[in-house]
Amino acid sequence: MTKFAVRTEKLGKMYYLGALSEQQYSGYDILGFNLPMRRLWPILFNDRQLDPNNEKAFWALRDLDLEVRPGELVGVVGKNGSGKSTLLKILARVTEPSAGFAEVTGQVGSLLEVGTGFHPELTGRQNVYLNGSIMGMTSEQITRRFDEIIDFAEVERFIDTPVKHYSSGMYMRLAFSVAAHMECDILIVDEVLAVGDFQFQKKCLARIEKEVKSGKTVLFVSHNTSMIMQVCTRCVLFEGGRIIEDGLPQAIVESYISRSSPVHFDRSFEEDTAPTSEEHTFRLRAFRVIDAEGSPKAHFDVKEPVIIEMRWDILSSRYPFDVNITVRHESGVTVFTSLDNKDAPWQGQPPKEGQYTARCTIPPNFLNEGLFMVDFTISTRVRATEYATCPDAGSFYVVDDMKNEGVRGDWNGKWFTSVLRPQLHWTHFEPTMLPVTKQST
Amino acid sequence: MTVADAQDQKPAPEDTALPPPAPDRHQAVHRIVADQKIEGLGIEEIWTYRELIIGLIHRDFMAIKNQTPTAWFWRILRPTFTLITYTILFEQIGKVDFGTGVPYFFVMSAALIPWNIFSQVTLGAVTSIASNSAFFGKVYFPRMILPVVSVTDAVVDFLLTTVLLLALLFYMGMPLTMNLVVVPFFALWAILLGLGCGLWLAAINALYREVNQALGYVIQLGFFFSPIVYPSEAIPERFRDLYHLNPLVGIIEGFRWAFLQQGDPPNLTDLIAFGLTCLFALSGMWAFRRIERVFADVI
Repeated sequence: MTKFAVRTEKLGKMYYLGALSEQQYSGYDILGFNLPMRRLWPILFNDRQLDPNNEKAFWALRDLDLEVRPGELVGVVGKNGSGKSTLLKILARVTEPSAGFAEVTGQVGSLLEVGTGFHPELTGRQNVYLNGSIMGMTSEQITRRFDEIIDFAEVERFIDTPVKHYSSGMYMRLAFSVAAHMECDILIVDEVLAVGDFQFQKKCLARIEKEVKSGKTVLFVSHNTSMIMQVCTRCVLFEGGRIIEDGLPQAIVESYISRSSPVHFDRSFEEDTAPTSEEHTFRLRAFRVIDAEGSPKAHFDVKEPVIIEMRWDILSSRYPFDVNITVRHESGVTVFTSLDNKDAPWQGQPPKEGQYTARCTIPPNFLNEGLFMVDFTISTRVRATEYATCPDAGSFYVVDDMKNEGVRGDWNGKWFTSVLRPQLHWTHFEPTMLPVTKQST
Repeated sequence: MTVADAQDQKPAPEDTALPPPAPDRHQAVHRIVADQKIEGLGIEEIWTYRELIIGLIHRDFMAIKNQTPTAWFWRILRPTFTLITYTILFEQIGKVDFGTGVPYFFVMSAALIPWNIFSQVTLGAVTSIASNSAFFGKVYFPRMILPVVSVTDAVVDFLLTTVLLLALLFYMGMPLTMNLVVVPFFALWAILLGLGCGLWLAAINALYREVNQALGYVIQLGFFFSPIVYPSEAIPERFRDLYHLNPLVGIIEGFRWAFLQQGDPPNLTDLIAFGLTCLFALSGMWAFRRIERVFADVI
């Protein structure tokens, strides 16, 4: 029994940029003219010599060393074009590497894009068999799992109906179900769960987790970072064809987000580019995340307050207005929205022109660790179109120094995965003084 | 609530324990290396995918079977219209005479059947690659399966038109002889020739997109370089040997002999030409197998 499910060493994939017709293979030129067979010949006679020094050479994947153990559920994140899909394509054997090698233990299966290979004229049953055999299952294997597939897809009643009559949801569920019941050792899931309703997504994730428990290895590409954090046991971050970080999903996702959108904790808007409302009533001017001393910073301890400071201009004293902030977690969860209406001194009256500043304090011992993003908006209730907004106006990290203070108390381990870590009050009762409850007689 | 919680609350049918993975699959380590040399024709590998081939052929059959009656009607109408058009064009207007006493309509149809096999297989092979490109970036299987499977459509049309022609010959009181036993051989020959052309063209088309543009024209040219609308005797004597290098000439004359008892019975030349066509088809497989591995990169 081998110790790895996937192993790559110095794996690379090179493409030539630009049109195909401009690809150069050396040795097929005569007097500066490319022979027409310069593309055909090297491929037919196993004589391809890629020229890495060519100015059009582009490495989609370079010097990749990765080892995945059986039973790992590895999340793969990275910007578009960072090499994620290229790696998966090489593992699925649909494209060949240009350098190095990869080894896979057992059979590799890919979750196809939904409905690929489904034929609208065929019934659900026929499509299950066809799609299964495209993915390398024998009809015996499909028969064995047929009931499971149908149950999972929840299409029992329609299984002998041509799929062209299916709703898009049924279609998609059946397609996923076939793929999810594939008998393979390594499953590649490339951004296919984006479709489907929430319930079904959850079911799919549960299915994937279960496959992993039964010994499958899963490589999971998704831009949905909360999904990655939820299910993966490990995460790798791709950039420019290389893996630049490898570790626990939480940490990698945080790093991925902060790389793709740098943390702004002290921001001011120039007059001409500042977010301004349509009728030029409001203009946002500045946004800062500051601590209790008033100095802006990016990292806050869970035990200290986070103060959001906003500055804006009132350009004409026309409408009464509300200021609000929306705080979102890195996973995409909206944590809360807060409105200034109860504390604003102008109380529903149009204010005078001028520059205003407000601070909103997020209490200590409230947010859990993680990266938070804040949207800053000024609007009026008089006109729905009259508002000024800046999504992602700022962001900050909440971190835990692991000292036994605050909510943590004497708990030493890593705190639990959740968006909030609020300080709540617990009441306990001694066995002799049970709280009074109504007894049924 | 985590995903695991959700599952506990509502036990789904798939919650039953998975069967243990088959022991034989687990040990195999597959190594994917850069610049791997390709050997052979990959027939063994295709054999391991036979279930997929059967499944895809089945798909094509079912798709044809489930078609609406209108589609069936068109399937028959299309070749009939072609036939009528050519009959009017070449017999009535062009005054082409085969000099055999057999109605021109039959002489034409006996030739159009193999021609349709050939052209449908060739075109089908090329389009099968383009229309299934959705798989190429996702899942591996020998791509050669696709052109091979696309033969199904041509075979269905062949059977349909053959039955129609036989019925018509019978109705018109023309003799049906034992010559007909050679029809499967000549049909197979036409299929192999179409596959050979189709595999080469499909492979080259991946690298040179111009092929697709030229394809329709080249096929049309082939139509007029074959004795379909005129007898091969119309070719001047000194070019006749050169003309017979076109395997379609042998195939079409074979069909005419089988259906209408015209011309010479099949002889050794036909067998040699058939052998050469087999070699050509194999060369198509050879080329296709070497080029298919760059499909995902270029299509």
